[in-house]
Amino acid sequence: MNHNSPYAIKITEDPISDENGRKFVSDSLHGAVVVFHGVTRDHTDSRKVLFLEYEAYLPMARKKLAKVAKEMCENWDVKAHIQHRLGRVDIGEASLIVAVGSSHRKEAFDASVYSVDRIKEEVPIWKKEHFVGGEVWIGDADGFRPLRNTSDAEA
Amino acid sequence: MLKIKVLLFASYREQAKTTSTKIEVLEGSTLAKIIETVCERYPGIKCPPQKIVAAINEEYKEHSTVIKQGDTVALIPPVSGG
Repeated sequence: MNHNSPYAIKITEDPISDENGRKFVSDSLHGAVVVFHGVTRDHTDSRKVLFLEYEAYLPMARKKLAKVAKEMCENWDVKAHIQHRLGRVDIGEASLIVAVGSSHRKEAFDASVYSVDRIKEEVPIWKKEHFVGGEVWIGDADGFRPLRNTSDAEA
Repeated sequence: MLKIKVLLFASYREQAKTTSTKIEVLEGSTLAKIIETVCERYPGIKCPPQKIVAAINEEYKEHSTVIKQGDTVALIPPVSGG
């Protein structure tokens, strides 16, 4: 990714923080910086979540994540930085951090929402929820391996 | 015959108990044929073949796409990043 590109992405097994994203999107032209953190919560409906585990088809995930970031910059006048973590992500830790900078707040908010929606549609990354009594690949009812029904297997 | 590498991830990887396999198909075969063959080999994969989303060389493709020598196919379970 060259230095003039308005977007950048990173997929890593290490913990992620918003610092490098904020730095990347910072610009004296910007009046707004929106930073979204997707964080592991301790429950899904009545299930007590222990931790999440993320897996990716790495080369394709990098490509598709870059595509999402590029689309953000094409649809709005923004700079965008997206980080996604893989492997085990404990309660309270971030799996996804999106930083968006723009002249005005609306563009930054809109582009931020768009990015998360698109990631959940197209980027080949999978989340397995480990909970008390079982584990489940989110979004894939056939991957459910507990003793309970699957109707609430929602991200 | 074409020898095609197929990658499996997440639930499909666990259900098939492997991360990849090699499939032999006739020239002119489609992506649909590859997916059906993988599902026959690994009956643990519960999703009906016609519903499985797949990529060729890291791009999503229709089941009617004709496979070429050297292609890498990936079966993509419902994604759930974020």
